[in-house]
Amino acid sequence: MTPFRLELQSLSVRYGATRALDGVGFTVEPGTICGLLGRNGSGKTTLLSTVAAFRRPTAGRVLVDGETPFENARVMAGICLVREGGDVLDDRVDAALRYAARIRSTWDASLAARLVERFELPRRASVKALSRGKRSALGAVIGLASRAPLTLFDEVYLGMDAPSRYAFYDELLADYMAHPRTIVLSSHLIDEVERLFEHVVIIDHGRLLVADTSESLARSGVTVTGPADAVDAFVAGANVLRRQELGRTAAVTLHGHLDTEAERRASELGLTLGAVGLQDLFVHLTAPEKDAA
Amino acid sequence: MTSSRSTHPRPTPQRVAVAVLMTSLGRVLVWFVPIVLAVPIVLYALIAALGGELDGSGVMMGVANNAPAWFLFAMGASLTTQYLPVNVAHGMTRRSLATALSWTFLAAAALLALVLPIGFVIEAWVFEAYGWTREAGIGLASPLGGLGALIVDAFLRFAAMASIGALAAITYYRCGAWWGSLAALATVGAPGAIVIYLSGDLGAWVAPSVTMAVLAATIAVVNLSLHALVRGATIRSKEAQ
Repeated sequence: MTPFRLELQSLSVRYGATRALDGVGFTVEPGTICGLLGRNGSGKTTLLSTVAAFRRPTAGRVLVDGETPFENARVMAGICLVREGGDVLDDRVDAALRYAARIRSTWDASLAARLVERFELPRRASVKALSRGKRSALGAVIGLASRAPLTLFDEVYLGMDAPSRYAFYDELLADYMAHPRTIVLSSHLIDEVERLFEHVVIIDHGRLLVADTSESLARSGVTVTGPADAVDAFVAGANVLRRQELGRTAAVTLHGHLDTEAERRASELGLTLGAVGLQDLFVHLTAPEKDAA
Repeated sequence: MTSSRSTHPRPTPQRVAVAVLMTSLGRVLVWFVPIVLAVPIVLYALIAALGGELDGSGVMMGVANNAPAWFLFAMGASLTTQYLPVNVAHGMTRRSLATALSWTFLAAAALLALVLPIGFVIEAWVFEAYGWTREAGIGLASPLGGLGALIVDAFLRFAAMASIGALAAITYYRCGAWWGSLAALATVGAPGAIVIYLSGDLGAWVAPSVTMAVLAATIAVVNLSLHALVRGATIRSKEAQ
């Protein structure tokens, strides 16, 4: 199966009086890894659930491979949403894997077997008896081995220790390179996962803040590093996202582009310019208005 | 890395779902059937040991009428809510699960209806062994007719109860505790009353053909309602499950 394209058109979801998603619209091109970022309660899980046909939108449309996914047998067969803890068969680990293998036409049994070894999952243990981290690892195994044309990971790393998380990121990237498909990964651990993203979507309070390529986002800000006095003089009046100081050296993250003249002046002052970190940008964009002012 | 593929054609997801549901049910049935058959035998042994005597099939009849029906009611409810999120998460439609549930209920009801006469045969041996006599028209000689009628009647009642359990569960799943309880008047109360009425003494006033037609209609209505509710269900968050 070829990777699916994902398109959201003015998507809104309400829970009674609460607006979980409000007119969200963006596109994820087939065969890309998209990071879905947002604070707690921003609407990430609702968005992924709607895309995966777990629920209907209140308004607007979700199009997966050009069709609405809800109760669409062809499209649903190509979507795999892995939520925290995984929606797996309440049985032994090997039974849960066999079940996924029987249903998923794109299942890779050898990859699943290798990942089970790598994450040290006890095959004969009951899924209920697994720790939170191991359950998350089982969800990760099913998500990767399913090789679904649209794979959605909703904070799948929760409970995993650092080596397991990095193993997951490595496996995801390696398998994606070998078998490109569309992957959406929601996460709070931005520093850990930003290297994976080709496309980034940031939502806050149910509204879309940013949907852009990682490359373009990296150019939407700049870090200025150098002697503290020179840095402060350079950034005076600019939109500062973050300031760090170590001894007489300061590093300031600015939001916005620098023109050629500003770059020349920074060079004259002996300052080093670098790309903005996604986490800094995320914190700035999602900060409450009183803090951002 | 290559995908591991079988040379046999893949079963449809719906068949896989039926197989998994039947396996899940079968694991419990393996324990349930021997227990249900053993309970009356143990009771008869106790009565005989205390010097008592029975002239009817009340115990086996009571167990045979009620235990499989309520067992399938509970399993219908459990399977529906357990497998709905799992199946959708594995890329299957809700309607394929609803169809798989209906087939599973029919198969399980048929299996238990076929086991039912074995209980009466065992009971007949026990009565003979203790020198007790049985009333005519009880057990294998069902009031509805012969053995065939007994099996068909049991099959319809068991299938109805499994479907009612599933309907009650999906209503609670979709509507929550308050509205689910209120709706239970329609989802459990009305069809359950029909099944219980027809399987009790009052049902003896109804012609056997009418009993079977009403039970078949109840199964059809309950399963259509089940399909309608499952097809539109929102898969709840993990925390809410």
